[in-house]
Amino acid sequence: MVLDANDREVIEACQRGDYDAFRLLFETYKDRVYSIALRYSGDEAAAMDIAQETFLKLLSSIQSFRGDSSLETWLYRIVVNRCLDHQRSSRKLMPFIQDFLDAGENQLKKLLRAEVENDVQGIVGKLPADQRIVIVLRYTEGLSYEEIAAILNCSKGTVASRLNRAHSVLERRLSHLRGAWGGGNVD
Amino acid sequence: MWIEPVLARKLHRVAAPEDLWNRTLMRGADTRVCGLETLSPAEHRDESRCRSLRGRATGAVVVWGMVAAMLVVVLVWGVPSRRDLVISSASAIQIRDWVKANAGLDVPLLADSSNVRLTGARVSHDGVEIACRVGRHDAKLLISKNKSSVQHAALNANSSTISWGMNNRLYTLACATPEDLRIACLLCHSSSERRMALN
Repeated sequence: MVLDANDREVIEACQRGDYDAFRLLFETYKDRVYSIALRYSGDEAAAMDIAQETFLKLLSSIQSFRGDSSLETWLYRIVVNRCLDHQRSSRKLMPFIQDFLDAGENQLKKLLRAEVENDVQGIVGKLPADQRIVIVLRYTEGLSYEEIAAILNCSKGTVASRLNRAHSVLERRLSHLRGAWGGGNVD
Repeated sequence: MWIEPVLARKLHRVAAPEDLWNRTLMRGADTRVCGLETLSPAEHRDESRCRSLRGRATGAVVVWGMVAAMLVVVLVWGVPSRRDLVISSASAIQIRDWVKANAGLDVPLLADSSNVRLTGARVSHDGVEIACRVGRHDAKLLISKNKSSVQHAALNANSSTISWGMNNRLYTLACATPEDLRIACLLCHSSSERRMALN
């Protein structure tokens, strides 16, 4: 389902409170919103929460949408902000998890750590928020530097810088996959 | 750079879960959803509407508007019991989805019935109540889990009702007049189906 030519019409219908128009928006963007949330959070339950909050936010603020940016850019901004908000609200739990991982290195924990570290999603999840979000927008959504810059309200150079730093970290931490990728299989 | 294709492959887009829509609706209901434009009042406050609500005079208008809206709800619906969920909408699709999400019941409401105008629905521990207008009269379709709640179907002493059982539930259509009753069948049936059923 593509909205392109009818975007304005659908948005105006949503602004009038047309339920069916909102359902159309939801169906069009649900996979994108959920994917960003999942790839950013690395957790299905958290992704569900973020996606729900995103669509409720979309619904409650559609009246303020003036078309200064594209609908996609606006929606991406909402989901990005929800991702960052969600991380802030759950950050207090993180030290406990880290404590658990750091406390002792028995064999089971070593195995668990190895499992996590083999998982690309897990490694991406350890990136700082500003680097992680550009990685998700770039590789989950395939957005250009310009599009990411517009969503994050920063310069194209900043996006490039964050991506470079994230690439460096990921190349180092996922170096074991380099050979496998050369052989054509990283699954 | 070898890492880019790895990331593109491992971080690909996925399909959203099937129940995301229903869960979004339910979450909206938890925040007192009553129609699309008032889905999340708390979120309205921090968005553009907040910017437009300037000054005490505007604030007073909003407060009085809310009081008036509450009065309308009470007049139309009566005072809902503490656990009742209520939605106010004229959309058959929205009401059908909402009832399905909140009561697990799929009521096949028709979206294009010009003679019957939906106004909302209520889910309580007794069952589901779908409200509509037939001409200038109120009408209700009640779907109850047990027969003890049949008597609640009557709108008043002169109303016309019809009840039938289906899928272990009791359906009761309550209207102001016998003619309204015939028209209210269009909530779920096309006009040709109605003629066959009533003739």
